[in-house]
Amino acid sequence: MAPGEVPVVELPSTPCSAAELVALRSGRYVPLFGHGAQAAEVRRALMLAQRALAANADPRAMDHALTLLTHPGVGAEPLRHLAQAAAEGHAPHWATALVLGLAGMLGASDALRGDVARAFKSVASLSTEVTLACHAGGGDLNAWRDHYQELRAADAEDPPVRAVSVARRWYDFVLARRWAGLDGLRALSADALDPASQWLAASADWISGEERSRARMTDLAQAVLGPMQRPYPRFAQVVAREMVELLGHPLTMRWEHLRCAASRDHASVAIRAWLHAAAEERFFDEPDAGHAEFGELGPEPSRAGRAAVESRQLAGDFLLDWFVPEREARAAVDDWARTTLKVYHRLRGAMLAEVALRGARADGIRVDEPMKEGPA
Amino acid sequence: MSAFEAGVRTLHEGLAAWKRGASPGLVSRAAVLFDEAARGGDVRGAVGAAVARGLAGDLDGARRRLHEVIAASPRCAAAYVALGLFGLRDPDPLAHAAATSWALVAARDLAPDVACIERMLAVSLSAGGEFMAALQSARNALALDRDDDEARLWSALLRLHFGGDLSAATVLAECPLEAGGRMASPAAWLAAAAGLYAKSEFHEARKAMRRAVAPLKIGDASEAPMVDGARRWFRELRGFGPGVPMTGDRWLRDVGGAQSDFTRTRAALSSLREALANVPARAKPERVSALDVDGALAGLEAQTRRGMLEWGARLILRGFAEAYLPLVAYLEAPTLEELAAMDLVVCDG
Repeated sequence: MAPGEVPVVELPSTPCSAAELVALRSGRYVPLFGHGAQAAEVRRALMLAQRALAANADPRAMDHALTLLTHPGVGAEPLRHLAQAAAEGHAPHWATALVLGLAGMLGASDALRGDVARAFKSVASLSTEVTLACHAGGGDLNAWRDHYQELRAADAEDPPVRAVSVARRWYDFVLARRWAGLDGLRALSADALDPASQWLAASADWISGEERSRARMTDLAQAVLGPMQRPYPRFAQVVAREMVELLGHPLTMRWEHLRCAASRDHASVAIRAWLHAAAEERFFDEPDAGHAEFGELGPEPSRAGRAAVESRQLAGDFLLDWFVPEREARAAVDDWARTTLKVYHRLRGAMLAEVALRGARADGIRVDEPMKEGPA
Repeated sequence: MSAFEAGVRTLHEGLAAWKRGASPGLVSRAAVLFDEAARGGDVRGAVGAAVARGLAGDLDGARRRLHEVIAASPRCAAAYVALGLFGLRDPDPLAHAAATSWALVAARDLAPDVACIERMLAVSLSAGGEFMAALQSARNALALDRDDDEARLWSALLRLHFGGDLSAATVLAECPLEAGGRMASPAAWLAAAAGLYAKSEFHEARKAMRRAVAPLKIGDASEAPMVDGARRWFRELRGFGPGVPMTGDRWLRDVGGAQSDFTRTRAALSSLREALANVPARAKPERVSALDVDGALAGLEAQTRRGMLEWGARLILRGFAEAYLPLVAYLEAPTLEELAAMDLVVCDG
């Protein structure tokens, strides 16, 4: 194909032509909001979502839509301008939620989802979604530990955000195999949570062997997907397919997770308990010691004790709990966790997109019918 | 009498008058005499000069000189022994444990079947956390010299806290008494404290601990770190608890109690096993068998038990080296055997 024959793509057609494919792969496309935060661009974003998730969509349309979110040359800069325009009232407030929701629904990779989310960091109403989109990931590059650290830092912020706490505890239980994480998830689930967080908490329950969680996960997913069925009919199929993959082998996944839990270094946890118990002892201050002939001994451990604890802290507690010697089991649980988080982001994205679609409908855009190119 | 012989006699005189250190005047004189011998080309003189300076307190200078001797005479076992000796007499023996072990392994290769080298190697390997090799060295030392109480002490400590052999506690508890005059250092009571505590004789253990630090002056700023080191070690020994972490109720407590990850993982595996047994038809296509789960349960238990011993050893044995070695170095001069291993003896007749 001659260079002159490659078009500049704004919206990939259905089915996608070879020339458009070459254009998308070679960066000859206008990213979303590449023309500025205008009404036409908002309309293009809505149409892109429709084309990707329509019943008769091109099989690769979701990938193409993801490509259009950013550009290799300018990155997510157009989205940053959109955030600024929305803050100044030059663009509809729901447009930012639509784009971030779209990234989640389409199953963007950790890096792409993070890029898009960071562009909307200044949007106060999206702060929790931005945090989760950026930090609830790590499966693509096995960077679970880094994402966990970010989540932990976000979870420590005041006031606490329940959705972030759920994600952090999910990491604790599913990836670090700490049972306290499951207890925390159960405690959090007792109170009101958004459906996607409830779904994530139920997934941890499912891998721990709770049979009823499967039905609960399905119900929650249906509740989120219901409003999406009309504008984006293909979306429910995508999520359903991934959920079948997730929930297909309950005993195997439970077994793999327990294998990982069993090969954790439980003895090193005990040593910290010993040292903690030791620091509370006051040998020379006991009543039968008669008189306090030596001064107060500080709580710090001996050098040997410090080395026993610090070596683990230096390596990172989470890393050691995740990176267990049972390689096959770890890989199986990691794969499962990766898919679970993908579905979780799809559901979060769907929740955001629903908010955006409500805004669009309120602005008179008919999002439930196939939109046509050209002026509204 | 040659300068070397005069140096050796002066050094011995200085060490005989050891009281929280050698007599400075005599050790300095010995260093000068050894220097003179070294100038005459005697390698033993060079080693002696370094040793005298190290015992006078200049550990860095002594190490530098010994490295020079080793560079010039790489087959001089005495220099390696001296290097190992100063590694063990350093105020922070854990920091130098690897270098000390290296020097003593070299010394053992050059001068095999010397009990005190094997024993020193066992000590440095323990400080470095190489417990299996340390146990072998301690046993070799005992095989070479059945009366080596220091080697017996380390062997028993390693057996107790690395091997999980509770019978070694009795050996430790009786160590200072059995040794009598041979093992004069009150620091040995520190090992007795470990043995007595393991046997749940808590009051006796506290008494032994007090005897270990009794020679040190209360409130003395220079001696306080050693007292605190011993107290800190004993405090951690108490946290570890009596006996070895292998038995009944102790086991459950050591792994963190009923809510610990270990206990809950074990319970979850047991419940999975039950589920597999109840619905074999479901388990078959998923390729999980009760036998696999049994294997995982046994592996979890065995691996954690072994881990507890290793972590316990790292905490208790290295902590013991950290507390015990500075005490011994402060209260005791190098033994005659050690001086002989460094060629710093004169054979009469």
